[in-house]
Amino acid sequence: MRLHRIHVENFKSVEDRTLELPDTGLVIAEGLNEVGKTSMVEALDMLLDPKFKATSKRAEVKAAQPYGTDLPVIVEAEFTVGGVRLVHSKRFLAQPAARLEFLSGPRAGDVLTDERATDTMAEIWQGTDQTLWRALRHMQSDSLEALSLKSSTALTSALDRASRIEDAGPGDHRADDTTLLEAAEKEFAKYWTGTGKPGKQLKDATTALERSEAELAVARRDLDEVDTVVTELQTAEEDLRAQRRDVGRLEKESAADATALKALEGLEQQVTEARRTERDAQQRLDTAASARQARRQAVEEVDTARQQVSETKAAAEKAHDAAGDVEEEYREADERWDACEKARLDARRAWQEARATVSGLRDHDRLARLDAIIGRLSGVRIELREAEGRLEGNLASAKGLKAAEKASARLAAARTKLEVASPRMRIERLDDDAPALAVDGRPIEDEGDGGAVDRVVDRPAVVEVADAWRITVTPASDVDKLAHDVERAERELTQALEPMGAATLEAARELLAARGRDESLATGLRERLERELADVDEWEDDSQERSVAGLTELRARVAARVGDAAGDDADADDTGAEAGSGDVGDAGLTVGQAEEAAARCEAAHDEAELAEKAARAAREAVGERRSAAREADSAAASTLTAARGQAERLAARLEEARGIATDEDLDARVETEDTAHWEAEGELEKVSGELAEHSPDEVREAARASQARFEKASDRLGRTGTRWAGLDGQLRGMDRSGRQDRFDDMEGRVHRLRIEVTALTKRADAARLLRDTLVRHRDEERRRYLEPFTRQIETLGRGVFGADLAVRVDDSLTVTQRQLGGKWLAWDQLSTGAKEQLGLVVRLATARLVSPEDGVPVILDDALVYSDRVRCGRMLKEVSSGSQANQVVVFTSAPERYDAVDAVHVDFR
Amino acid sequence: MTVRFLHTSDWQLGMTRHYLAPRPGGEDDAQARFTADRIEAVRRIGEIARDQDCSFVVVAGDVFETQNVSRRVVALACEAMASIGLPVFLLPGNHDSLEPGCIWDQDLFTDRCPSNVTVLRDTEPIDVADGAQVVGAPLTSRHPSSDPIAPVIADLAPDGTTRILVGHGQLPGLSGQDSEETEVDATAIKEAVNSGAIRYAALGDRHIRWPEDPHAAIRYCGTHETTRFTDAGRGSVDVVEVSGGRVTATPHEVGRWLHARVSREMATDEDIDAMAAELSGFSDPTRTIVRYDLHGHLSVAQNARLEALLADRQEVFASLEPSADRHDLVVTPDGGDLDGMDLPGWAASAATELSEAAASSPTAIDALGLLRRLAMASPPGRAENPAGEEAHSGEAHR
Repeated sequence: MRLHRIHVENFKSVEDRTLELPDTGLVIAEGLNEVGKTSMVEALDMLLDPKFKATSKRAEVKAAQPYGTDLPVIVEAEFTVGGVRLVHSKRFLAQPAARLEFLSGPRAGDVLTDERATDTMAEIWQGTDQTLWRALRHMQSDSLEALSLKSSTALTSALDRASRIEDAGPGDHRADDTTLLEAAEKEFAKYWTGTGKPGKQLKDATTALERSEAELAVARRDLDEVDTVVTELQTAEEDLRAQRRDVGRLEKESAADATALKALEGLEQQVTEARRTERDAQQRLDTAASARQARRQAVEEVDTARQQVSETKAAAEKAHDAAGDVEEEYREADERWDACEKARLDARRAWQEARATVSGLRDHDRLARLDAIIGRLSGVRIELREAEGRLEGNLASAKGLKAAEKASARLAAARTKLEVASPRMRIERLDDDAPALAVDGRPIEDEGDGGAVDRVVDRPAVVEVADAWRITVTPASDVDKLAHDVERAERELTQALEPMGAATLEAARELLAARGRDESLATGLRERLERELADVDEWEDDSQERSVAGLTELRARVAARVGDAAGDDADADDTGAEAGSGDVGDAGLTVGQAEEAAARCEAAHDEAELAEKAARAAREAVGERRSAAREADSAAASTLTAARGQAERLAARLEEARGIATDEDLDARVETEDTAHWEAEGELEKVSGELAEHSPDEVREAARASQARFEKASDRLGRTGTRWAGLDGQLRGMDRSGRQDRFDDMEGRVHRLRIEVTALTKRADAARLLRDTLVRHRDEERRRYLEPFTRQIETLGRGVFGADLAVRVDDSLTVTQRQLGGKWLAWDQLSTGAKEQLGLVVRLATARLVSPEDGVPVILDDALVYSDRVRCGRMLKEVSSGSQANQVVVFTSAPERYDAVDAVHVDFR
Repeated sequence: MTVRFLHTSDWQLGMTRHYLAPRPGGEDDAQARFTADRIEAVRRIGEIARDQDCSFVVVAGDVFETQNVSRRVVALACEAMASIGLPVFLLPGNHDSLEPGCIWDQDLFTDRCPSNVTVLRDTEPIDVADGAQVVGAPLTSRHPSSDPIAPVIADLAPDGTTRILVGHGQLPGLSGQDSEETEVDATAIKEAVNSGAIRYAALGDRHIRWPEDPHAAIRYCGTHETTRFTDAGRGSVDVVEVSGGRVTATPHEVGRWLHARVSREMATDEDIDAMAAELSGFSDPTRTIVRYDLHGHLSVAQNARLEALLADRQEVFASLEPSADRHDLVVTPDGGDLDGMDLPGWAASAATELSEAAASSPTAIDALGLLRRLAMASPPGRAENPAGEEAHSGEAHR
């Protein structure tokens, strides 16, 4: 479509305007804003759109009428469509009318009006590429969305031509393409998912096959199991047969061995029997032999007993004679001993008498000495008693003296103190006849020193002079105290001396010295007494008598002894001596003589005693022998008696035994038993030999072994039987036919499923391959188809954006991405200006691509408002060059932008 | 003297085939039909035996498929055997050997075993008529360690008795046998036949009848219902007449099932038509198991057609599957494949790329097929098309 002229009246702000356009090239329609540039385009739309009939009262139409007027809205345009030049006009609202005039073509000269004009125009307009018509206008109010030119038939056929794949009838097959591909896609979708994985049908079939194959494997295993059991059962049956044979054979062998064993046992029984018989015979033989032996012994015993009796008898007689001899001997010895004993007693008496004489003489001696001692001791004692008496009266003691000495010292000290402290009073006689003077009532005498009295006044002293004067001298009070001290010391001294019975300290000392002397004396006397008594002790060791009293007592005893010997008179030595000589014989014997006589008597006695002892010993020896002889005699007698008894008893017993069995009987019995035993022994030997020949151990071992073999084989057979029974039961319970059926069934199913899966896979693969191939070829073609469009956009765009511009165009012929400086940006990411510029480039590229007869004018309403000047300039160059073959109309309020562009300028004011 | 009897083997009742399993969501149960038919064939055997004046029937091993067959299979088998009305001698084979716990000892068999049925549990000869005996050589285990037949015939003397040996195992040297199978000593059997100790060896284990010679005294009668693609034609039994030293065996078809291979070269649309005709040629597709192996090249469009055909036929056949190791049809895009597809330029270039990849990528061929279907099914303004769904379901069961 090529626009030649637009005329508008009363359209919004446009009162009456006509815009004339050259056939090709750029037209810059200048005008201020609000002058109705856009209205011109709107008016053109209203004219060409069949929806707007001339009679239309649509809101758009009404809106176009100048406000507050009844003016008709008139639009008229002259254009060429499909090679035919037309003038079409519409008058809206007031006296609406439409008109179409054909200026060229077959109907040149035809003028249609109203409905017919509108309808015919609609038909003609239908042939125009509406998409392109809308797309190639860029109104100020349009959005900057990317253009979609897919439904532009002019563009697509232009691209078809450019891609040169279809020589004839371009455009007709587009719809078919889709159908075929859709069908291929649909076929593909039957088997595959969108992502190319197996679809449900394919998956189900494969799964079903896999499952069935698994089930078939199970069924096959189940079936094999049956065969396994059958095989095992077969083996078990074979085993059973073989083992039964074995058992039969072994049973026979075992029975044979058992029979042999039984025979052996019979033989063993015989041996046992023979052994017992032999033992019995031996026993009987032993019994007979011992009976015979006993008899022989009995006979011997009787003989021996008798022999003993005769022997015993002789011995007894001999013993008796010997006893008689010893008896006589004893009597003699006894007599001898009696004599000796008598002699000894006599000697003893004589010796005793001699001793008595010695003793008497000695007592006399001692008594005399004792008396002398007692006489001496009596003197000592008197002296001692006197000394002791003095000591008793003397109460002085060293201790008492010491106390007295201390008291005396204190007294002296007190006196000294008093004397020092007291005033001294000296009275001197000045005249010998001076009046009497008394001190303390005592007249003063001339006392030495020329009659001066010198005294210490330690107490008040009264001096009287001639009874006419009394002078009292009183010492100071502290002298008084000292005087008291002296008094007390005096008292203490007195008290100390008093217990000793001494008046003064000197006296006390004297007393103590006397006491010492007496004590020494007493001690000496006592020692003397001791000594004397010790002397006594020498002759009679009696310590208890070491006292005067003791001595006295001793003396009494000695005296008594003497008295015993010589009468009661113990008064004189002589009597004692006289008395003591009584038994000794001659009076006047000395002790020494008496002692000699006594010694002689003693010797005689000792001699007699020895003789007596010897006699006694002899007698005792004989006595012992006598006892022995007596015992021997008695023993021999009793032995004889016993021997006789024994001999008699044995003889009686022998006789008795012989009454039962004679000696001959016994001999005969031994003979018989011996024979019997010999026979039994022979028999035993015979059967033992037979037994040994049978090798019993071997027979027994053979029987045991064959029995064991038989039992083992039986066991094995039993186990095999059990195994067989188990397998047989197992086989019966296996549901063989069921297993077979399942297997057969599964085998068939698997076969069918395999066929199905194979076919399905084959179809699926085919569908996939076809779809993939078709898509690939379609895409390839599309690429080739889009390629001129892309190239055109890039060629134009590079002038604006730079040499490295690249774009991507999708199937809907929409620019989706732009690359600049190596960086791709999506349409939406582009800046407003870039969108505007690229939009223009796309429009111009489209305009260039479509054939002139299919083309429509490019109308830009104040385009490039967002674009910078530099790019603007470039764009305009492109527009200008592009407009060589196309109509490009630019409405603008800024014509200076296009100053540098070679264009037709129309003043639109 | 003359003895007439029916020789059959390898019934393998209770056999299952995985390729007969019901299709997911499918209504048909080919396995159930297969199982029932194998038992039903036993009844027909009885009819033949009676019609042919047989005195008895010998089954030379593998009466049951496994020792684990279901109660129902045993029950139906026993009823079918009872219906024969003649003495039936069953030989335990490797599938149903006298192993411990074997089917012959299980209550589910012993409780139902018909009175006319004898299990040849030992090698003791059984008198079947005056001067005629059946001697079984049962297998006592699945994999006998030694020839089960040789010891049996060693004990037999040529005493004028007409003895029918019933044995199970593979004679050496025959094709199509499994190395694991039990081998029997052919020489020993031949000598026994030559000596007259036995007159006929009724063998089992081999599912294919052998030999062709009707007078052969050592024979595999083959299975009564085929079980493998190596078994040509339908299953049969032999009516055997032993007259003195002369044997005459006559086969009688009893099986209804067919294991068929369809092997074709493919290049043109006509070849596809021929394939369709061949498939239509099977008289009872519900009892026919087809393994097809196609060779040569087809275009994507042709392949689409072929697949549609196969998808359709799969509905009627008991089993229609490509042979795992033989089928090697190659699909190659050609100019025609892209014709008629009003593709936009880019789609056309995609198609070209797929065509170029097709030589080395089966998936590319599939993708091309899919593109073709989508382009044909989706003219402008129509997103979905029922024809597209059909093609899709056809593909699913390929």
